[in-house]
Amino acid sequence: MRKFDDLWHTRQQKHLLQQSKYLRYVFNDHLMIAVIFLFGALAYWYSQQLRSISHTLWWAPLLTALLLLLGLSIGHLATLLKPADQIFLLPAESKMRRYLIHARRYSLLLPLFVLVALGGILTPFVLRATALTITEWLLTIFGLLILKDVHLWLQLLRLFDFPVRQQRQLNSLFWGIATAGLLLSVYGWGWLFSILSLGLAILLAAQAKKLLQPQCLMWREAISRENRRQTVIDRFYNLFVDVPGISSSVHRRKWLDPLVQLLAGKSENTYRFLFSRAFVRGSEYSNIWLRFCLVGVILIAVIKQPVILLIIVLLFLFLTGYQLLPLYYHFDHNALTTLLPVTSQAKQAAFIKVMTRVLLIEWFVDSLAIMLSLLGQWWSIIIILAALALIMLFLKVYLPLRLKQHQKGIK
Amino acid sequence: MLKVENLTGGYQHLKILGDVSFEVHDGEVVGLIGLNGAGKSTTIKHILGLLQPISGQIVLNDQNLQTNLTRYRQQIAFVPETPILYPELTLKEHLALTMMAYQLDSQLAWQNANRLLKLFRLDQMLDWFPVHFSKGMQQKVMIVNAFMTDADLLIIDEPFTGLDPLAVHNLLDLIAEKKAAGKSVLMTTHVLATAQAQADRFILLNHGQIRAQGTVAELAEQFGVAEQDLDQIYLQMAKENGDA
Repeated sequence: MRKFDDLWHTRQQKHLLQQSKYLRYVFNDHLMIAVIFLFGALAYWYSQQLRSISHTLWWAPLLTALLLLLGLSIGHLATLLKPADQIFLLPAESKMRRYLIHARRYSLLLPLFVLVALGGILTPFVLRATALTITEWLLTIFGLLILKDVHLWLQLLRLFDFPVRQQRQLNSLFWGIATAGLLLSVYGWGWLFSILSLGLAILLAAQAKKLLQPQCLMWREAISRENRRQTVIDRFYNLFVDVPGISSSVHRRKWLDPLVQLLAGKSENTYRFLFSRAFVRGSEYSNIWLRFCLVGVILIAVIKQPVILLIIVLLFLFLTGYQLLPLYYHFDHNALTTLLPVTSQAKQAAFIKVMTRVLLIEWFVDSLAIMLSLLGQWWSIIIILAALALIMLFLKVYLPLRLKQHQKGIK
Repeated sequence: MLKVENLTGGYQHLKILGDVSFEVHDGEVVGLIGLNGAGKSTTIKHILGLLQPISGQIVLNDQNLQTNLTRYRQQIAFVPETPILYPELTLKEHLALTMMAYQLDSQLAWQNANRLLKLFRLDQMLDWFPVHFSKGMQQKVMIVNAFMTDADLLIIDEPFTGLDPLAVHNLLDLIAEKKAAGKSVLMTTHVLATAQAQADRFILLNHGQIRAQGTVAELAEQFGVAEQDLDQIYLQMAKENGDA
């Protein structure tokens, strides 16, 4: 970075580099397999539903407007400001306007992509279930994209020292126009909506520079907004890989104490005591388990094809167990635990016992869902028994082998 | 010269300062003192323009934030109470960024910076990342960063905590140097005995208002304490507040 004007580009590059680093972990994760299955299932379900629509539906325009409105709210201004900026960049505040305008343009990319994708997905539905023509629909999407542009201008204005009341008015004006405009356009007034939002965008772009000129940037406010935005993203990444500065939180969860009891058992066993509490009170392990359970149940409810269902249930149970393996090493960094007078055989046995209960609960949940979904077909019994067999194999054969390998690795 | 006139302000919904007025003249060092929560840091944030006044105004050499933002800001250098640094920048890059922001002549600025870095024994660490430094060393980085500019007003928030005795001594020398060059210095501190060495005047804040101001002798007289026992002022004031 030689000149001040390069600041945005340097930051943007660093930011993108970091995102790609984290995204690699996200896409390498086993959960992605589950998500791809889920998307496939949803797409299949959607195409089936589309086929059954033969005439226009009264609720279709309203649903479309609601989905588009939700889509509009996706995407925030990414300023990439850092806490130290309020000291180091203070004297260069007037140059920050250029920086922020770059930031706004960059922040526009992702939401526009999402909106175009949303528009694309909805197109067959809209053309079948509403009275809109393709031109009217395209005009609606066009107006929506313009409104997103306006939305980000408003978010940029919010970083400057405007009276709170004026900001609130602008905000409600924006959402008012968006709601009314979308409702108009799903009933065929797409051209009016486009003209309205285009007018709003031109008005704002022309006024923005003049509006911003006499105002001070609210550094503290802007930085804390950006921090909050980053934390949300980092929390997401933290589900897949350790993000520095984000500690997965531990909660007491008193109401889950019976579950702790169930996992830990009655006997006084050091590691069952530790593993059960780490699983229930920490978020990293129970989250993995919960996500697989939920996605599994949704898939079971959607997919009626028994062979595919069998594969998915087995795959999910195995992946849950596999993803929970790090729990075994959870306490290895704790000097106190390594000093405990407990043999590693006892630790392994304790881990397998806890895992048995965790996986059996998931199996039980899946089984219930399968029974309800397949309603007494003999396939349901096969899937349930096969799942149980897989769990037994995993616990009795795979797990001891894995843990023994690790033991060898240490020596 | 810094002029704060009838400043009333605080955070969005929380009024902290009530009708604060004072001046810091060219070549003058003023200590802003008061107990925790008295409004010292809030006053500083208002002068820096990180907070907007509810009423009143702040003028620095006939400029304020509204008339000429860039000019106003470039006349101020700031050492914060807790060092705030960029995790991804080296010491050298921190200084380079400041030079860019203040539009300093880089050759001249580096001359200044090198002298200061040597003084604080940081000259061998230019390629290190200051976020990994100890708190005292980070403080020194912030000091070098502020003192290498030729800002007319230096604002220093709690400068002495965390610094080793040698660095405290050096900092006092640097403040004296700025004073001799006709710059204004405003510093907040609790360590009155140290600040006394360079401060011409003190302003005592209490509950967001100026309780008293003047030289050490004047303050001592007002509160009826001995000059070498200036810390007694805090006790006196706490008694007035009904806290002790």
